[in-house]
Amino acid sequence: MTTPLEVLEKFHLDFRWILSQAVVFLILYWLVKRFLFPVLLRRIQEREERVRAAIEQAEKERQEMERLRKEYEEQLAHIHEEARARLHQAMEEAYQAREALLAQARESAERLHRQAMDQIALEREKLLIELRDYVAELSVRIAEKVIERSLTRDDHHEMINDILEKELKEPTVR
Amino acid sequence: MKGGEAAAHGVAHKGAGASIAAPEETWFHWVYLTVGIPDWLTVSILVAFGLVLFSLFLSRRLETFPKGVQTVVEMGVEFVDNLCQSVIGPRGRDYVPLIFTFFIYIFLLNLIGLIPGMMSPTAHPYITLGLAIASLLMVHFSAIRELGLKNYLLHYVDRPFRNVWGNIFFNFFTLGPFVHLLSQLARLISLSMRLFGNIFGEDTTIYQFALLGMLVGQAFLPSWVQVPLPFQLPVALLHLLVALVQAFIFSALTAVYIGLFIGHHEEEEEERASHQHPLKPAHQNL
Repeated sequence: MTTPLEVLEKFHLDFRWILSQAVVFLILYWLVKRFLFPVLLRRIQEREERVRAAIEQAEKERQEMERLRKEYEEQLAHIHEEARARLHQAMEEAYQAREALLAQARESAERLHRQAMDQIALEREKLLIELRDYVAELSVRIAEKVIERSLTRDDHHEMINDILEKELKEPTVR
Repeated sequence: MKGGEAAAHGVAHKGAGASIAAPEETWFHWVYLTVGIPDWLTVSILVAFGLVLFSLFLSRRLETFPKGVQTVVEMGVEFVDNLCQSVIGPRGRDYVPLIFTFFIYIFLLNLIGLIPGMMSPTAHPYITLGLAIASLLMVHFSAIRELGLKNYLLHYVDRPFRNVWGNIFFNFFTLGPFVHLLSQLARLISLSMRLFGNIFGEDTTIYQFALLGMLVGQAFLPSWVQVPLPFQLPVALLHLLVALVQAFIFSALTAVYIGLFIGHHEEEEEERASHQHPLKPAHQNL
């Protein structure tokens, strides 16, 4: 009957060396855990917190920016609408003003035209009267020349009156 | 190499004359000759000492906004933190120092063999066995601390029935506790032998390729340019990757073993609280 230790000896295993390596590792682990890791993990945690805070801050700022942008866009849209409305109003007013001006101009032109026509009619009347006087006088003078002294003053008048009456009833000159 | 020396250097060097492995004599062989501590243990202790000095140095100049070395260390710590939280659960944060120390220490032990005149201590089974023992000690120690001794011991038995005697008979006939103990032993062997085999294989390959480069240099180059050809360079580059991967596997498995104890326990607690599981009856009897 061989004991387990004898079996191990057949494999030429020297447990002093094996266990010493295990002890070397365990000491190394203890030292690393004791000295390096607390500081290292604290630093990593600090950085994580800082980064998280920075990201949260950035996110907050982004949301604020978004809000402002929306606000500006709304304002801008409002301004555009207002400008369009004002332009529309101004055009409307201008159109009305144009219409009014046109109407006024047309009226004024019509008035002038009417005045001119009246003036022309008046002038013509005046001219006709002048012309009739002149024609009468001319015809008297011609008649005088033709029948010089053959008529008395009374005859003369009688004759003129006859002519005038005839003329007034059926005017030959217009 | 004398007989006693070979025994101290372990199985890898049994019958040193015929060995194809890289020599285990380093610049610190005088420590073995004077004090009797083997070279691989000396190198391992020196690496551990260097790590302690480095952490003392680093802990004094840590800043809130990292630069240089601190950035690299913090990246590693955060990587391990994610690993622990996904494998162990919400309590995983507590195990970050352990897993991180395993990772960085084994990584450096794997890499130091690349320095000429040094060897990777992890290419020696004593070192990897020692690391695996430390790992399992920490696993079981934290399991007892987290769960209490009673709950810890309950992990070694199966409890499919409500009835106490039913469970006792079940465990008696299925040899459940024995199988559970055996699985713990298998973890010890798989953890240590995986690491040892990978790094030992890499070191041996690098050594043999370097020898080949020297031989080829001697055989094919003219006598006035007798330089060894760097045939081992691609394997050495591969070794960087293997060193990282093996360190990661070792530490990740340690986290998994912790998670199997603690995470499993949390699941059971939930089940017990809900009393809803149709296949597994509640087992508050044992």
